[in-house]
Amino acid sequence: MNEWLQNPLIMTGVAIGVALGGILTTCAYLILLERKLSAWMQDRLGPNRVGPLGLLQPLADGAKLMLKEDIIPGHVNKFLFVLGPAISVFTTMLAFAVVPFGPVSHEKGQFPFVIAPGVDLGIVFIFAVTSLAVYSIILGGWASNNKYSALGSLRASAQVVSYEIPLGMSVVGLALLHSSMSLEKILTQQAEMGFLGWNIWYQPVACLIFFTAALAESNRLPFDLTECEQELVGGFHTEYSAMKWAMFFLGEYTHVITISFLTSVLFFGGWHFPFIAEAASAYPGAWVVKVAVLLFKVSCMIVLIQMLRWTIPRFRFDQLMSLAWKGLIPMATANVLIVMCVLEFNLPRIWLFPLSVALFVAVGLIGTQASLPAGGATVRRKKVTAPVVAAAHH
Amino acid sequence: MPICADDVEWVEEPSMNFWESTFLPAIFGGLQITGSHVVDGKTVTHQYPEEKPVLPLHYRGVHRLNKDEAGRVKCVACMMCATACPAHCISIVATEAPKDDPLWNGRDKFPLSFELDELKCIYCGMCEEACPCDAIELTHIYDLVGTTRAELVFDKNKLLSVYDETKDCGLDPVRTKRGALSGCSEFATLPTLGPATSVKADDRAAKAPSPGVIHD
Amino acid sequence: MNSLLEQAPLLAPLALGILAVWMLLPREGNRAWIIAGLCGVSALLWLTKNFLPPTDNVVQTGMFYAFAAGAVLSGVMMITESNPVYAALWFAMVTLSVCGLFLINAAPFLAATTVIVYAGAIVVTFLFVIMLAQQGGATGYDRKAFQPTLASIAGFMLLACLMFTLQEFGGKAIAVEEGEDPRMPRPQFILPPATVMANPLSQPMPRKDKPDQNDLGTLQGVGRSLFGDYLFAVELAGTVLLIATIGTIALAPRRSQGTL
Repeated sequence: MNEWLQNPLIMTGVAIGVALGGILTTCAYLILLERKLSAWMQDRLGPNRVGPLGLLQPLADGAKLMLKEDIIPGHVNKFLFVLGPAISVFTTMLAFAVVPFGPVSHEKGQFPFVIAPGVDLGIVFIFAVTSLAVYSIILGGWASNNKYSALGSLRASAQVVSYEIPLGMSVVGLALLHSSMSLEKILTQQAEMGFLGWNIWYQPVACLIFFTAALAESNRLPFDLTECEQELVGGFHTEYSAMKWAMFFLGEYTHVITISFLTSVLFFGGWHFPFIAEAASAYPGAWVVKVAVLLFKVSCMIVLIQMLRWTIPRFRFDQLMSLAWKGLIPMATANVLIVMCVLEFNLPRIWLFPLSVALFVAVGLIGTQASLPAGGATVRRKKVTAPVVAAAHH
Repeated sequence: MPICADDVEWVEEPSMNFWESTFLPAIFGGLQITGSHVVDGKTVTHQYPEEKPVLPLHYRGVHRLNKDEAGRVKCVACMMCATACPAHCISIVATEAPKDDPLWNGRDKFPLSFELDELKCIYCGMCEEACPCDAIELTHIYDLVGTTRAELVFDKNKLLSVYDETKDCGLDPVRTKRGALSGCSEFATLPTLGPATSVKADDRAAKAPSPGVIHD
Repeated sequence: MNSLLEQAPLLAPLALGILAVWMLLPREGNRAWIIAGLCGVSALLWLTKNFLPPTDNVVQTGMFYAFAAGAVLSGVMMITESNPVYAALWFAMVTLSVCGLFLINAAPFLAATTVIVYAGAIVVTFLFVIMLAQQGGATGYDRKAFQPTLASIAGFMLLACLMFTLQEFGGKAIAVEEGEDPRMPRPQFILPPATVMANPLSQPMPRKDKPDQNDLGTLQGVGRSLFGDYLFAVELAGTVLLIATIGTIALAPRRSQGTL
């Protein structure tokens, strides 16, 4: 390697370029994939006019959004109106700085596969930065000077502030198990322990909580109370158009990519896969296989997220809140407690799996009891099942 | 009026069993359904510009002005359509037919200009129903485009050219009776008048249970 | 009186600061933006002369000044802004600037947690502003400060006490000693009082496995300090939060009372 590559700025710059270019391209094609998936689910064809199989559609979309008239309505607060989408893109992109997208290397002059290698508090950094993303929605919604936008952003703030708690608590167990918050270290430790070292075997409930809460943080469909077309026109982005509107969605799709990477790295062993991408494998081109494995896992997560979006209807707002406060947060707390007990009493780690399953069953049973109508106290409420049946005939 | 407490029916949420309260079976059941639609490869999409849609016979598209057998405009400039039009998109200037011209033999009036704003029109078909001599009819042309507003204000010649375009295509049969004054003067032979939008008995729309369709 | 005069380098800029904030506080009629701004900037520059951070690293010094100035100016803007929405946003700027100061002092965990906690807190402030404060446009208490004079004086008296303490026990106590290389990293700004024995857990101790690294600023270091040195304080704070939680639940109406 020549001297020039030893400069830390060079490789960081290259990593930023690769990550940024990758994210922007992926975002564009995620939109195409989402449109195609939704079309196939609904027995349609999806975009198929631009290029072979519609593969050039993202270019057409991008050109359209760039060339569209960029309207700033007269009644908005101009500065905050412009600031909102900028914050959305900025924060979600910044969060990607500590996400490893391949076998991380600390050697000088080698491609690091992460923009900021060696950040000790990886997950906390991501939470801190993404918690700022809610400002984009609130500022955009408030600055729009529109009741629908304001309602959308009010919902967003309550939702994001609530779901940040289970999101943070679900990874506390991982931090305890690996005695680190650094994504690279968690990934390396999983890879060294082999297939059975993947955190999904020890923290299945935490994985579920993390995935759900991260989905809620990204305001994607089962949790997209903020845009909610039926009730709020477009929610926080009602007044937005052209590229500013697109930037909100650039932020959303970047967030989806980030949470897919995080779920893969934290719970599914990152680039590790038995036999082909072990921690010790050093055959030529091993890094290509590792990157491919990681990207495959990430694409599986992304497809799952997009399938969920077109499968599950939107939550009602009180359901959304009770899922966070009555379901996920107690579950995450109990999960942390279980991890602490296992570590404190030096039990074998595999105990975590049956204990997590037991926790899940317990929460399910409690949920069953909670949804039963309380006897006696609610005499005034007559139980009527007929309207539900009647409504089905319309 | 305040709502009486007895009128209020409280609907309790149905109680959930163990699996339902974990949400997972519902989510995976839904994913199974949507996933099966993804992989089955069936589509119901019409490839529109290549495959033209099959429209019902009573489809209401762009207007035309019919001609009689002498090639004259059939319209007698009675203003019935302009009066009936709810969107006020028809404006007619009537003039007296020259008495000595053999071309206008048997006609009193004809429209000097007949302008119809296709952008204002709501394609309700009222003009067609109001017309006593079946001069104005709605055709199957649904893909009307233009680059300016003025281009889509159809004048008499344009409307007549639409007639020439569509009279033989099979989708827009001339529904009028032929006669000296396009049938409306011959009360003896006048059929029991149905609306011009009446449909054939075997048409799909004729079987619809909605009222107002008169079968011929 | 003499002792007060001795402190003129400290008191005079503070007096300028009082003037600046007092003039900037919302009132009826126009505010003297330019005079107040000049006062405030000169006060800041004057104070900076006395409280120079002892560092030779140009980049670090520049970033320190940027973040410090950002924090102070955003703080002043926050309390003098008449629009509560902007005040909440300036509060966010204050928090972010302080996080920047944490970062250049090698405390990234503190910075990240501050952002997490305060981001949520400011969002809630925002909600209060939107839902409660702006129902019928700007109200009287938005347009006019309540007790501007007393408030400025009280605030700056607190600041004076703080700065006096810093001046007496802080920066000035550390002078470059004879024969010492001035570029050597020195303990910054405040010496721990000699009378208090510091808990060995809170000191940056060399790690056993990697003796050339210390865990100052890492998660382990923060954890050891929090749950070793300051265990009692942490538990106390946790108890206060628990009491607040119980109080909230006690205050919330029951389902049988007709809401929720």
